[in-house]
Amino acid sequence: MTSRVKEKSWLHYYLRSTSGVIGAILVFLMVLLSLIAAFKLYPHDPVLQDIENTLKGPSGNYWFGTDQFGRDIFSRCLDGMRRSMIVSIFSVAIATVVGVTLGILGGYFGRWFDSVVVRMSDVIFAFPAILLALAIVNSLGNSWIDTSLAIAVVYTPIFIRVARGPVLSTKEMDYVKSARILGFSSPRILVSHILPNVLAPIVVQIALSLSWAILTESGLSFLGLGTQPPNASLGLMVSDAQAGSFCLVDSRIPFTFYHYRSCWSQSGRRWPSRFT
Amino acid sequence: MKTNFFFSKLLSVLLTLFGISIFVFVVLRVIPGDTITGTLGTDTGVLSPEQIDVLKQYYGIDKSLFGQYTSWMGSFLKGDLGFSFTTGLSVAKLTQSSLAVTAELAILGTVLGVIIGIAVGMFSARKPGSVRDFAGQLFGLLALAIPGFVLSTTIVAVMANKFHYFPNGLEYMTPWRNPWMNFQQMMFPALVLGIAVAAPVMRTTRSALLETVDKDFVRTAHGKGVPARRVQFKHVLRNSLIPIVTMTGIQFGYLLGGAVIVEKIFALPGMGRQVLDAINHREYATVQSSVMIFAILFVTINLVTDLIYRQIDPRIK
Amino acid sequence: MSLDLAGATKRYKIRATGTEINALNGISLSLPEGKTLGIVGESGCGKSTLARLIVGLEKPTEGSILWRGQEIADKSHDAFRTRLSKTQLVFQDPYSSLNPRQRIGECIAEVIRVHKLRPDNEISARVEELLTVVGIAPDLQHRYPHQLSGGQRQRVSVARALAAEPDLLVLDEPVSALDVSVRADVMNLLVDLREKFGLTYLFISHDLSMIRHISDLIAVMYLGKIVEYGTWQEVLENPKHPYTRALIEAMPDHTVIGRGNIAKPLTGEVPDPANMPTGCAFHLRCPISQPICSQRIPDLMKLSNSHSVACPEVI
Ligand SMILES: Nc1ncnc2c1ncn2[C@@H]1O[C@H](COP(=O)(O)OP(=O)(O)O)[C@@H](O)[C@H]1O
Ligand SMILES: [Mg+2]
Repeated sequence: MTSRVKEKSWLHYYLRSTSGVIGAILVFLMVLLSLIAAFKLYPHDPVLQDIENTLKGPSGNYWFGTDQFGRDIFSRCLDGMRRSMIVSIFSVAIATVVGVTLGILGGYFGRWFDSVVVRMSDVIFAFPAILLALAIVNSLGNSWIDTSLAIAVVYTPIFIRVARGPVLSTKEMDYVKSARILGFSSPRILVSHILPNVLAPIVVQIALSLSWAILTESGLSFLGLGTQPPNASLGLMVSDAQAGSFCLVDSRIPFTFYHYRSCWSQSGRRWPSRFT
Repeated sequence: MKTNFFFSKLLSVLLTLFGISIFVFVVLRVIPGDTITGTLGTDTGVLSPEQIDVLKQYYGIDKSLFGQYTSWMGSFLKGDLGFSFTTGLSVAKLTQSSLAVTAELAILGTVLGVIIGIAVGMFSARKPGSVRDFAGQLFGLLALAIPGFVLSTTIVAVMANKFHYFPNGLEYMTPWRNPWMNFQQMMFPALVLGIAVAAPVMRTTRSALLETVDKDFVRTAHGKGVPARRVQFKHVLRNSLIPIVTMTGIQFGYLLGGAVIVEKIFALPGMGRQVLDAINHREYATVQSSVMIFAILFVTINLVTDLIYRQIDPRIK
Repeated sequence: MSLDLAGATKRYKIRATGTEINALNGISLSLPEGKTLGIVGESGCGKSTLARLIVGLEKPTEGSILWRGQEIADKSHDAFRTRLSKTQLVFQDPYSSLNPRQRIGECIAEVIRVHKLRPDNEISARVEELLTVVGIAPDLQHRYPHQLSGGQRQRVSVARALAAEPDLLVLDEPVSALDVSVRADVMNLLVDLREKFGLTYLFISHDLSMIRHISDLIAVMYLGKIVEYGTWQEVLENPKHPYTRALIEAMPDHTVIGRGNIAKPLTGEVPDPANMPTGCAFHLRCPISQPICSQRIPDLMKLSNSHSVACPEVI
């Protein structure tokens, strides 16, 4: 009934589901590994080539073996993960801020502004996610900021929808009307009376989008338009596997993806609707 | 009321398409700026001002932005989608053949996905909470979680390295030139796309089945001694069709996105490949037209799904 | 000084069907300051719409609403916000009238802070004072709305309205959603507050028995119109309009029924406001309906200085 109770039962549900817990642990692991990479604590330099040691199998020194340039695959995995995480967090942050702002303003003020916002998100929704990201990256460039901006554009309309819908019903609540009668300014009403009450689905959407954005980033890199060689990226490493440079390791990557993704779809109890 | 709905829907779609054309124009022509430098790279430096003017005129960028937009839209609507230098063909001609490939892939993928999805969904729903239900659900999760390009590369690696079987390495065959070869080339990419479709279809089927099982007409049929399997097929599935069809329509649209990556990996000359190649060869006209066509397809499919949905769901009038 | 409505009309356009709803149909009344006006009528007759217009939440389609001689919904005026906050509304539903994410103390403090009604260091004392006034222990101020009962929430709503230091308080069925056991307490509180702060009340209810104890004046509404208006004695002891009579008849203990023929209980449904009957809106359900009633729209006509009724048949 009330928000407190809802939160509790959500957490309750989450902690009771096995995949929820497994997912949370794996996400924690991914963050940890990315942090290791961020502080350059990986065992080898991920871009350092070593002609003596190309295409080695897993060993004590090279945990996942080496690629055709003798680079340590484990270190490259860590660094690729870090890059994916950065792009994912940055792009989702932009999409959240822009999308939620537009969605809330559109939903609250309605009229022509709302029509423009809704039409804009319809327009962006009309492109398959990866294709749109591709087109934008093609125009912007290949840096991680460009990639993030492209992914942010793709995900913004999702946040517009997720924020706008609940605003439409919340603004009809008596407490919002009260706030207007009490003479509160629109910014105050939006920030302290509407935003806190539409936050729950937004938070779930952030979690979901973080994992999709990682996939979109990998997809872009895979197609050669994201992270550029010699830098490591998960998408590029999958594409290398096509050349047969390593066969053991790449099976681990989908594994990570799987848990990472399922965790969030479980926690949000939502079926992701965009295929990356 | 009904035709009214149809027209307002159509109007809204047209408005969206107009927005899309502006968006494509801004993203692909305005943001990148100088098409000539973009196309010729450092060679631009050796051109004389006269040559640059000729090129500007050639690319249509001697006009104002508004003029560029209207001339692009004008020729686009007349069916003139531009010219591709690398292939020496008009983009319209290119699109004709690549659209057929993508359409075949998307339809095959959807059909496969729906069959797999409904089968696994029914398999799961027979005994909720059992081991087979768990297996079915696990399939759903995996299908959803593994990105298409990982699945594709894994399939390619296994097929090519282990079994030395890779029909996609050969020249692409249209179904009317060599149907058997075409089938072999389409099978795996369609499967990859189909698996992504299967996950939500499976989920929808399962919950729709579980929902209808409790309904009166099912119990009545059971009571009359109709075998369980027949009840499931005849009564339950028929009544679960609406959400499944809707889900399929939605997925069909998203599948187009998946096609971009899958076509690249399996070397299929479809729309996705056309865009990618055009990007790599810096053929802006081709990119612009192809992206536009993608969006038109997507919007049309969604419109059709919406209309079908309204046709089959008696509750919506 | 008074609240004056002249021909206040509100029409809602329904987009889906392209029709219009006449929620309010030319309401004229005058409520002197310090008095309480009770508004009674069946659900759907436009009472809440009237409340929203009076507090300036919506603008009338036609007509004017003046509080102390100034147009309520005139946004061009500088003091719009301040004046707006001088007319407050207590909503019917205690479960949606408080922000679920705001502690009740903060909910009251916010009003004082925004309008700078007290210096910062006196705000918490003022919050405690207001809570005490409405009968809530001040140490509950850190609770969220969902941790309170319906009656307590309604008291908090009243306290929040009082925090704005209003002159006119519109109460839109303030106790209808509460348990019968707490209704009397909240009603008594409202009566006390009125004395204590010298407030003017506009008290709305669909239940005549709720209104009779608190009102000086009573207006009976039917489908967006006032059909009878007068002091409580006039309306309750000498009801004229057949609709008023029927309402009184329906009261559990109609001890105050006036002389004259006893009205029959109401039959039939309230007509659809999007599809109003011609003539008198009540004629389809009226026990004394005449053929002419379907053609003639009756105006409010004065019976005495304060009592008026919109039915030529009973004058
Ligand atoms: N925002 C609105 N849009 C359309 N119709 C409305 C709106 N608000 C009220 N109405 C209609 O106006 C009529 C009066 O409603 P209301 O004032 O809520 O009545 P009451 O409070 O007496 O029950 C009803 O028929 C209602 O459906
Ligand atoms: Mg009401």
